[in-house]
Amino acid sequence: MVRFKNFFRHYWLIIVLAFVATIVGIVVVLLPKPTPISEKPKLPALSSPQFTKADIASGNIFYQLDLKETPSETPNVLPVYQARPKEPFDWTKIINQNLEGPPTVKSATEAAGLAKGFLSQQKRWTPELEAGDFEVKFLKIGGFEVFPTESFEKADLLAIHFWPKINNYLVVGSNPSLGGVEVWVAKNGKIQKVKENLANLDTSNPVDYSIISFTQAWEKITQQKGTIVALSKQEGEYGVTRFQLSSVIINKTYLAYFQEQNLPAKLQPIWVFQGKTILTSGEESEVSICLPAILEL
Amino acid sequence: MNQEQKTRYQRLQGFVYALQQEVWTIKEIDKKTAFAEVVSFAQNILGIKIAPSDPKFLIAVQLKLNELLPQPEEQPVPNIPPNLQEMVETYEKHLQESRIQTQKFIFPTLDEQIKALYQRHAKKIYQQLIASEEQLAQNPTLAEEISLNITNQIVMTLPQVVKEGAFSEKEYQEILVKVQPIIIQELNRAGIEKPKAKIRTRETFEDAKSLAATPHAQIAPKPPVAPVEIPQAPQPKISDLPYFFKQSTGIGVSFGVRTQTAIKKAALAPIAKPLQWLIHLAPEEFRASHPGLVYAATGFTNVVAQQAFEQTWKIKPKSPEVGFWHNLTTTFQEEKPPFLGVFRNYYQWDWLGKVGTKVETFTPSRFFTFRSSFWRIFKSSRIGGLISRGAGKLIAYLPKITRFLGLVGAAIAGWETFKKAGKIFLGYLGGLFMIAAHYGPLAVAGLTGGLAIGFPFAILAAKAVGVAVTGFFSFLGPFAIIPGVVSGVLTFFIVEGVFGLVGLVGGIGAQILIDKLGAALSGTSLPQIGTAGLTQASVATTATAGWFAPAAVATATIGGLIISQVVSGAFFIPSEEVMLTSPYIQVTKTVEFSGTIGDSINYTIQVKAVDKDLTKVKVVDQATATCRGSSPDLEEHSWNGNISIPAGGVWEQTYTVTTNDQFNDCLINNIARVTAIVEGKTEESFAVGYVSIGNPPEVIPWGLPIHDNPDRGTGYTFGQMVPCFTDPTRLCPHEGIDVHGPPGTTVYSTFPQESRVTQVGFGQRAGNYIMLSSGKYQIFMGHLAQKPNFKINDPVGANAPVGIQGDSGSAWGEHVHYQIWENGGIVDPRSFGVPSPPW
Repeated sequence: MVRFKNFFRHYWLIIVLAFVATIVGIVVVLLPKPTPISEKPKLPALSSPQFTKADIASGNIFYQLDLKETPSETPNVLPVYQARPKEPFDWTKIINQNLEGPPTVKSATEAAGLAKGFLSQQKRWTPELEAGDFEVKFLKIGGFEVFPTESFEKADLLAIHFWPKINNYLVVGSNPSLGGVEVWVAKNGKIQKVKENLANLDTSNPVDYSIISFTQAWEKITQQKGTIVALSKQEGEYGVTRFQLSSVIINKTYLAYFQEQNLPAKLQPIWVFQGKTILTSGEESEVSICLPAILEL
Repeated sequence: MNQEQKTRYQRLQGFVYALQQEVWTIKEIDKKTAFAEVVSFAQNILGIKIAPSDPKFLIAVQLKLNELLPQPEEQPVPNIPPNLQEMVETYEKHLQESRIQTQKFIFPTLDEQIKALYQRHAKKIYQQLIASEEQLAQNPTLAEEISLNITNQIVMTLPQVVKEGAFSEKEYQEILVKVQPIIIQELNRAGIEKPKAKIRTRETFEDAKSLAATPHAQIAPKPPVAPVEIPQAPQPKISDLPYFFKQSTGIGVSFGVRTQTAIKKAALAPIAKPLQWLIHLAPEEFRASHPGLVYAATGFTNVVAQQAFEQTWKIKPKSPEVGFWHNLTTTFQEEKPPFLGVFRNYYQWDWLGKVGTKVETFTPSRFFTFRSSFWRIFKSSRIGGLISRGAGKLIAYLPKITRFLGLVGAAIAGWETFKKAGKIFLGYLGGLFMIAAHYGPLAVAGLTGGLAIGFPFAILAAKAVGVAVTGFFSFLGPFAIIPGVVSGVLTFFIVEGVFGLVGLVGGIGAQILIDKLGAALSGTSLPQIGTAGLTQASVATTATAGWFAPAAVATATIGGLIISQVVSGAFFIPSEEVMLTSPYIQVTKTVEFSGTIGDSINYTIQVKAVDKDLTKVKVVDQATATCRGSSPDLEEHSWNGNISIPAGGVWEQTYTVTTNDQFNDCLINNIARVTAIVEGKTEESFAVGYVSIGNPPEVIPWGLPIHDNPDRGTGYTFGQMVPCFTDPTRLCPHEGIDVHGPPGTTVYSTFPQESRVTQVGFGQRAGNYIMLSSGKYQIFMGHLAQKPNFKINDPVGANAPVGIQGDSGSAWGEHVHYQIWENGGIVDPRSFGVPSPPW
């Protein structure tokens, strides 16, 4: 019988204890991870979102924060949803690119109203779009292309980008500056083009996951863990041009839902950091950086 | 330099210094603005090219400013004051107050910080002196004086030897060469004639850098030179202190350093792992008694933990083991403690949740909570309590039980290794199940068939052998039946096994045949099939690597069975040959040709041994000709004569190929492959060269990507000035041509030979696009209707369809934006078979 006070003088006991502890450890480790907070996860385990990366030369980037608005408080958990494919819709059958006729659209807001009305009429307007945001961009036609222009007056077309919102968070794709649905309206009031960049949402089987805070996200960004998904300079180029970034000043950040291009995809929360960067060529470019917001990713 | 410049330089010098501190000390300007000003100044005025994110940046700026600012005049050397000890004590007190002020966020002045840095440096040397020289340990005053002398001299020396932006480890070693004589000189002056003290100045590397980067004039008090009372020294006893290096990791680190690091990690594991285990056992106790170890193990850069740790050791009695911990104390003061690399693998994430969690807040992750709960419950049990209390005792008597730690460490290391190995094993198991799922049905059928067919033969053979052996052992009488039966049974199993094996191989062979047939019938190329197969295998493998291995394996098996049979050939493929370029073999290929048929093409192959000796070097040069007409047969040249090239040496060979009419309009590619033995391992490198003779159209993109009534319409041609996409107020050249055909027309590759996909995706302007590459050419096609169903590196056949014309991206109407790139630069596609006019 080993006496208590001599407990640790016996080598063999230490060996046995170490062995027992190892076995216990293995058992503990092999227990399933309690990842989702909800009782029964209905979705398979999450994987890191597959962001489409901008083509930048490797190297550490120096990040600075210069936020115009303080990010709102982050919830502890957010649900993850599934995306389901949209029913195919042949827009070419109902849209005829026709710029003829006198200008009837007086403002960008009016164009947005027309776009919304058109989508509603075609039953492509969803509650998520209704809850979401929109932005009107001015386009000028040249050849077979359209180019951004500065003002409503100079524009031939108005591109209205609609971002759906879910749980009060925007849903974005690989390029967060492109809306989930994009409608081009001419000044004659006719719809010229509809681009549906994102799939529909399926909110029936949400699963809650813990979310990292803004501070934690920023820390990861400074540790070069974010993915640079879009550089406006690159988006404006054809072909492949590799850019080199040295420093980025972030002036906007928000929590959003990311939807991958390839379906089936999950809608999972991400942190979006947007700002400006100076390229090694000396040119300025807008940049979007994404980071998974799920704690475990 | 005028006064204004000087003032500005001094202001920036102040910024640079403050930016190197943990807390921002300048109140009139915020850190970010100051940094921006420094960056702008450094890049625009000083012309420093180092990235601002690089830690060397500030040092480089500092050194440059030091050069620009006038150095102060030499001051007369003061004598050491008689009340030095008192002064040092006052100094320490002052430093202590400064530290308290820091905690209260009343920041010390620049001078105070410099003094603190200087004092810290001296303190380290002092600690090392007393740890390594018994004589000095008994005379702390003397040790302190010597350490101050040494520090002063180092401070005087360092800034003069450090070069801008090149304060590397190697240079630091050079500095040490200069520092060591100072140490020896000082010890000699103190009467220690043959100093054995090994001042581990490497630990002060970071501090030395800070010192070097600090303004010379502000930090360098003159070395006090004073006669020192020399006590009679007993024979010095030197403890060889264990020392730990920073663990360098990452891709940017050289191969040598990584190897070195790996060895160090392996060597440290017996120490690091037991620590990890102990912290697991009783985290709270450990935090209370040894916060520094928690700090060390988790990499917290936390002032509270650091100070608490230092405090702990101040009150500890000295013992032989203390040397080890003293050494750790000094090392902990670096931002990244030495254990970080060792623990990073598992520890930080598994236990504390995430990097950067502060000790005092101790934010627990869920995993931590989970484990804590486990330990709490465990400790509340009888045996658990026993172990826990025991662990507490173990911690209290830590130095006495170090001999057990290796054992415990091995256990915990085994645990973690088991975890990792288990994941990998299950991954492979999943892969094996997938293979079995694919080849299994026919393999089992073949095996069964083989066994069935082989059965009568096996019986006959067993009978024959049994009878023969029994006959042979007839001298054993009735016992002869025993070897007879044994040999008969063995024969049965051997023959049956051979038949079974043949059947099995036949079954697998049949499946391979079906695969190939399926591939041929489906019309897809082998790598495409392979990509699909690999994806399936990857999915299954990933799934099986989870915690529920059996379920995942079963799912993967059934899924794999169904998928593989449905998809037929689209499964496993032979892997492609991967050519690796060895860092030790540098191959250069030069091709010279006058361009006139009848002349010779001169090839030169140069093999250079980089850093290491190359032995058994084998060089094979293969050439292929792609011509408009019939291609000439080109010989393979090889040198296989056990060539040896010493490190840094060069081996060179030339040969010529005489051209004739067959070489007209040909592209001759050749590749020189070099294999060699480098330190017992086979390494391979290659170099390619090509010569283009005449006009070999088969190797350049030719024509338009649209075959069905291609038209320019209102599209832009190459070089036409159009609004810049990112800045519509300016004009940019249109780099490509726009071409359109009837709605929904097919878009084809313009390469008349197989090419590879180098880019495929979606861009705001280009819409859905694909980029193909062959040789030095690349072609780009944008605004496709859908994202092309290719992956990067997929092969695309000669003039094969790649997509459908569309209006994705910024297109106004369906068309294709077509570009040709040559050697990475955009060229005019109209020189490549594009009809002109209309383009």
